[in-house]
Amino acid sequence: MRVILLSLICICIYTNGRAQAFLGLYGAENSVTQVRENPAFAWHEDRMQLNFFGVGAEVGGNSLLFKRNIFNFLTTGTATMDKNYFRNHNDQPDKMFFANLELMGPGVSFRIQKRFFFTASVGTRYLLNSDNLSDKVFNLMGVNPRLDSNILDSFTVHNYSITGQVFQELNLSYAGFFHETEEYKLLGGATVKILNGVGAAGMGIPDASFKIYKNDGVAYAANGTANLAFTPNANKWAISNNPFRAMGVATNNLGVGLDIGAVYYMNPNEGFQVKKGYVTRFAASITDIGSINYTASSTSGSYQVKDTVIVYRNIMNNNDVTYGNRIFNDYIIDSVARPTASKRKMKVGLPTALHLNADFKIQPRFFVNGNVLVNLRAPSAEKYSNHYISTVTITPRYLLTRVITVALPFSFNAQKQGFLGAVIYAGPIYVGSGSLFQLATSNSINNLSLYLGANLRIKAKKQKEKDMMMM
Amino acid sequence: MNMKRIAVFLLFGLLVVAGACKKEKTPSADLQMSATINSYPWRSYASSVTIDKGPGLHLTILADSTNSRIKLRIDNYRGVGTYVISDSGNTASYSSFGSVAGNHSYDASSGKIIISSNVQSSNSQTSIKGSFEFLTSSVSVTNGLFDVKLNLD
Repeated sequence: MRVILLSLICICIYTNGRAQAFLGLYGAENSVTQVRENPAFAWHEDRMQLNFFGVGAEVGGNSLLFKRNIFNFLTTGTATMDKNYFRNHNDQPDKMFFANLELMGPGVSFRIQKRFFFTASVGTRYLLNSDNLSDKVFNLMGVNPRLDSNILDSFTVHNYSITGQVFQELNLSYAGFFHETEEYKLLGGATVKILNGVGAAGMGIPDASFKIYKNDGVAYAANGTANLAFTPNANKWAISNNPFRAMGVATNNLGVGLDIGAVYYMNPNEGFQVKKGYVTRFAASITDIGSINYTASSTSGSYQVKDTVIVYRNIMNNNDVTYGNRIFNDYIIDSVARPTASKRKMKVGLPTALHLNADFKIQPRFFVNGNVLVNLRAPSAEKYSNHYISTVTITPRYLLTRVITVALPFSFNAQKQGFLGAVIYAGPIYVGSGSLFQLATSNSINNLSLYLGANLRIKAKKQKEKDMMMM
Repeated sequence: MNMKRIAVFLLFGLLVVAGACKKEKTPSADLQMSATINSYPWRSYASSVTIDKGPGLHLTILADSTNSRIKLRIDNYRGVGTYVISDSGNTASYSSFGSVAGNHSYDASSGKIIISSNVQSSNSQTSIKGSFEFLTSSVSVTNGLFDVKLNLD
């Protein structure tokens, strides 16, 4: 058994993943999972590569701080405000929050005639974004809201959006050569993504205003419009529930997405024999182009609130009652909100992003990787979409042995937050975190990131010595 | 036939009659709409409630009998209250479908729909009860009652 295990480790690869849930996972070798970052990475020198599984989760933003006991959530299933997490009181006027959870695999990557490279993989993704909530309004929400002054205070909301979706994807990738010599290779690739929308929920508030007096749980003189859309039975999984409970009430809305990319490998010859691999690699890609059209629940649409008093004191998340029933009975019949438009379909955009990546071989065992992730989706109250956070990552990587590599990704994002993580590749297994050092050294963490996975690399047969002599 | 057999026969007959009488007097639990059409009783065997929006919330109740249909539509639904037909877009109609006489639809010229109860009856359902009456050019619909469920997911 040990021999088999050791053999497996020896033939396995250092693997890569994708942003955002796999931030910092930028290894040297191509793999079926790396294709999700850039389809041109489908090229490899192996006979076949297999991805068994990969799971990555990242929660962040500038609105919440987490205590280390937040991980009790994994066993208890609940996280409580002011106990496991609390408000992040900072000077940023707009609060945002995101959560990404991605399950990858299985997948397979193979080549035909050493020129045509194909990858097929499946995955499930949960994406949640909340953007543009003013600091003042944020402090009114949740348990133990920050006490306001005794005077009548005014609040405004502008371009606020919150969108969550769960979907499954089948990725079919192809990569081929644009230019190929022994020293330089330029490849292009594309991935067609067949998407199965499991569930989605979103709200956008273009403009709204209200007044609060002594924090009595009542919004006075409320005015504004809210766009609201969700798939049937979203109450079972959205807001405070396990998002993968959406599988139990799957809506099965099909969509199509696209990734495109190119990679340039530089491997200048310095000796008689051509070395495998590369000295420098540049890659660029645009991923997650497209959207999913979900069939919306019958109460989805636009609602207007006009000079209304809203008692929000007792609004609680009730997992049992459907959103449709609550909206109908608590807001429409109670004359709180007036429908102004209907919505039969809910189009939710994928987190389209530009990826620029460069990998430098500094020493035979030492690499430095630079990655720029640029978000191409602007959050909007008028459109439902998810997005990543623009992030720059520098990752030094050292090959300790033939099968063990360590990497230390340093990331800096558009929210002016810096994180130091760590990744270890041990044969077929990788485990990492984009913010491990925050997790280890602080009990007020603004980013939770963790990922792990397993891949298998089936190498090409070695060329026999006799064949080499004949060449 | 001895007395014992006669007694059993009578008891059985009594139970059948009692059951039949009970069914006649008490509407079954799934009765959704009933009315009197030109002095003849009318009952639905199926119904549906749908909503549409913007501006305002439109509630439509459809009830079908074997070869006829009653349709009630409230243009700006606000729960319990009286909605006058032909006022602010509230409508009602009676349609008959016949293989010989053909299909005919009669739109109400006057009448009212009264919502007496709008209650959340389960996690995903709202129960709406009420009454209605309306007149068309040739059909008189009176004593209308409905007890329908609106499914909202």
